[in-house]
Amino acid sequence: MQTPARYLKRLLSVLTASLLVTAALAQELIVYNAGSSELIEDTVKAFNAAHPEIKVTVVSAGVGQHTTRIQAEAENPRGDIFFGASVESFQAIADLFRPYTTANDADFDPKFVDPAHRFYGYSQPLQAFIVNTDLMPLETAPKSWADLAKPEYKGKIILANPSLSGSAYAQLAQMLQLYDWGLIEQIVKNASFVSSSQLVFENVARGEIEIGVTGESNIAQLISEGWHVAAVYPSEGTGLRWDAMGIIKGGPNPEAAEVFMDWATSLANYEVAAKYFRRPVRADAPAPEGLAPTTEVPTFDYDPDLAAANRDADLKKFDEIFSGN
Amino acid sequence: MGARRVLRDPFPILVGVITAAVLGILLIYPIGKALLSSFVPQGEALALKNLSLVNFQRFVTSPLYKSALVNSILVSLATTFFATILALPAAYAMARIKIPLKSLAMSLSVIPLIAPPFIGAYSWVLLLGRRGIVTVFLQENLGITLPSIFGPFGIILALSLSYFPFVFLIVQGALAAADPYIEESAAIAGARRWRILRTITFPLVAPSIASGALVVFIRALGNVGVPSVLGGDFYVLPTLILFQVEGFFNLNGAAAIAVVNVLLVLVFLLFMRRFSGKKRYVTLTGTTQRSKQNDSLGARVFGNVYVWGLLAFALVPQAMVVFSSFAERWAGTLLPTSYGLANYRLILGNVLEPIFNSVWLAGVATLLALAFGTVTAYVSLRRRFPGKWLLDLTIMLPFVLPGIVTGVAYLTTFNSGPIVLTGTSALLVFGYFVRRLAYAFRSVSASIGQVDPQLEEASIICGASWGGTMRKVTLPLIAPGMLAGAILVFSTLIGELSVTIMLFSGKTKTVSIAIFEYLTSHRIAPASAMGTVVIVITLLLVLLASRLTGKSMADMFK
Repeated sequence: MQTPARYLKRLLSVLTASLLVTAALAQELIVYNAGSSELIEDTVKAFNAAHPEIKVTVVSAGVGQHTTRIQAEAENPRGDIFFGASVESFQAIADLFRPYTTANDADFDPKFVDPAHRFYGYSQPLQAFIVNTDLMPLETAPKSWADLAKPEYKGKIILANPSLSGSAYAQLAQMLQLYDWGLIEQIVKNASFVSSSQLVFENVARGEIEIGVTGESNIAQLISEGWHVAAVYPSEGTGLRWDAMGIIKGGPNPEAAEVFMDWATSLANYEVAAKYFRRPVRADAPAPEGLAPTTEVPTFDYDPDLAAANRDADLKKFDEIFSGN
Repeated sequence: MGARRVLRDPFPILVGVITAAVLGILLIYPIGKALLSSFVPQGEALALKNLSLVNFQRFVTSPLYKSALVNSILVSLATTFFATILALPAAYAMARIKIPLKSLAMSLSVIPLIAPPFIGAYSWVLLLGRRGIVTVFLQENLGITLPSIFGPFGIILALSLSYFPFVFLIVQGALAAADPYIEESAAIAGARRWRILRTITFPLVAPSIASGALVVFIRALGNVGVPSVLGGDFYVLPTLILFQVEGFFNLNGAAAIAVVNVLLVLVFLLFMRRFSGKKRYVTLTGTTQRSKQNDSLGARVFGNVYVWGLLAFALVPQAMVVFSSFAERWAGTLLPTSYGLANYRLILGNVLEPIFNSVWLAGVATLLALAFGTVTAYVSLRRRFPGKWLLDLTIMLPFVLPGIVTGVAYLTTFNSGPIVLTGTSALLVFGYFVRRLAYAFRSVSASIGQVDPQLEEASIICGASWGGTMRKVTLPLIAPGMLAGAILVFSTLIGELSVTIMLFSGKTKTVSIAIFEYLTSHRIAPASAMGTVVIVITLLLVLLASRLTGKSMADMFK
């Protein structure tokens, strides 16, 4: 009985000490992180190397949970930065972010910055096919979006339901900008649409199913870990989308938030991102090893505004085809 | 007379007022607001002029909503049925048959409730999926092809095995506490064993069965993780809530689906009332003694095989979590290619604070739930007042609603205005408390129902105050029920994710959040190590609680 009590005492003293240290540091910063926790840990470490005076607290949750939280807290915001969510989710609650022109604004292609400077691009989560090479030799794998509709792939494709998230809808929107609903009807016959984006690449990696569509960084990560998967970029091209970061309007630490944005738009942040196979939006940033260079990936002129405008109608139509199937 | 009683003993009034205030502020106000928001279109203020049924329209127009509704009803009913069928023989065996290491079996049966978030369903895929360990083994060695684990069958299997303890624990307790004289009298009168079971034992524990089945139904109805992992295209109502929140940021739409959930539970509740009847059987009287154990060889063999077999199946997901935690390298192969403690070393720096947070947050919430659950259960059973069922339903509400709806209700209510709690630990504690109050309430109700009110009346007649009677007569008699409730509350809170993820701040990171963080970067092995730590710590705390109170686990649940 003595040991737990002593241990508790020690734990309490450690906690008190850490509180005192916190008080001694001048500034705090609260980051709402929607991406991988490993990535944000490294990002904060790199940020603190340049700005040790700011103590960063990370709150990790899903994109939907964070946008819900930011909306619910709008009258009394508790977070300073929203980090790593798709641009679609930023656009959905764009008014809740504060315009701030960062020190590195000139280094950005304007297409990767909100016109009102409320958020900046972070990476380009290009969508690609993930193929389990144990179950399907690469030669027989689909090469194009149109291939996904071929009868030989029936029962071998896993996709995320487009209602699930901005990125999941973007897959549908890309196919609709390249083809029409006839293709989608065929693909719905072939594929299973799950309710978690993570399940798509995990089930392919684990060998539960042959083919999925997912972000390229997931595939590169799995390959680096030794899973038997490969990436195929659809030949018609994959849409150039981006995810973003921005300052939450009315957050508790506005100055620290600006310091963070200035740093996060600098090359130092993109070096961290590259380690996690994130394709940078800044053209002068290093391309991650293990990803094909952007110039070699077939892309097409994806129109995100058109996609956003059609979203409700598209999803309604998709639901009809999906449940009629 | 009435006025004099009040003056002499203001205690019950005081307790009543405090309870009403706490429930009003922490439960009725935020949750009521959330429910009302389902009658307002997305983006509109909660006002009379904005009222509409637009959020409910999809249940009529959308085939997707209709099929999800049917799927939800199917999965929840089937899970409730199978969980109950699985639990009843085990409960009977535990209460009436000699089983070695009974206390261990009881403690182990709590573990399926501590399913670390998301990991549970994955384990079934790891074992029984297309490239699962068992599937491949059977195929390569015996030429047997297993049916696919994906689909409604897999969902119902996984859910039944993880929720049967709710029925098992409650019914086992009721059986153990049931007055053995009634059954013995029947036996002496010449009734056969089956007839006794059907006409005496079963009616005696029917309210407890109904109680446990209700909890299973609600849990199955609200579960989103298992249908997501094992369901594929098979969507249930929580899947649609996920779409509304994640895909459309439409909380009003999510609340509308939640309201449909509540209606389903209400229908089930009314059905269960019919099933269990209005009669209550008082079984804890002044003369209660232990029931006789069945010593026949056949009964003992059946009882042991059944109880241990069921536990073995139910603990498979948790065993897989422990197994995965030792896998240092497991990518694209049937079994890990290297084992070791690397995952535990990895989590070492990240485990203490979350565990500490989880234990104390869940602990305080458990105490609160216990205190207020006991008072409300007592009032609801011992006092007559109109609209009792409304109190019952009110307490169930936060439990029925999806965590994210409760979480958002709390965020918006306590973020600005008269009471500001965002970012504090209190917000989480209160959120946990209202969400699990129903467990404490149910568990204590069942045990108060078994106490003969004449015992209390005798104490009052002898001149004891209400407080004194509570302290010296009622509380000791219902203490096992309270402890059982506390264990249910605590062990289901320690891994709670859905409310936590909406309400935690950087300073109140819990183990469930730590596990979630590992999963966001697909680090399943360290997440499993963290999950293993949670399982072990909860088990130790449950055993410690039974040691401290001098009760064995088997005695607690009666």
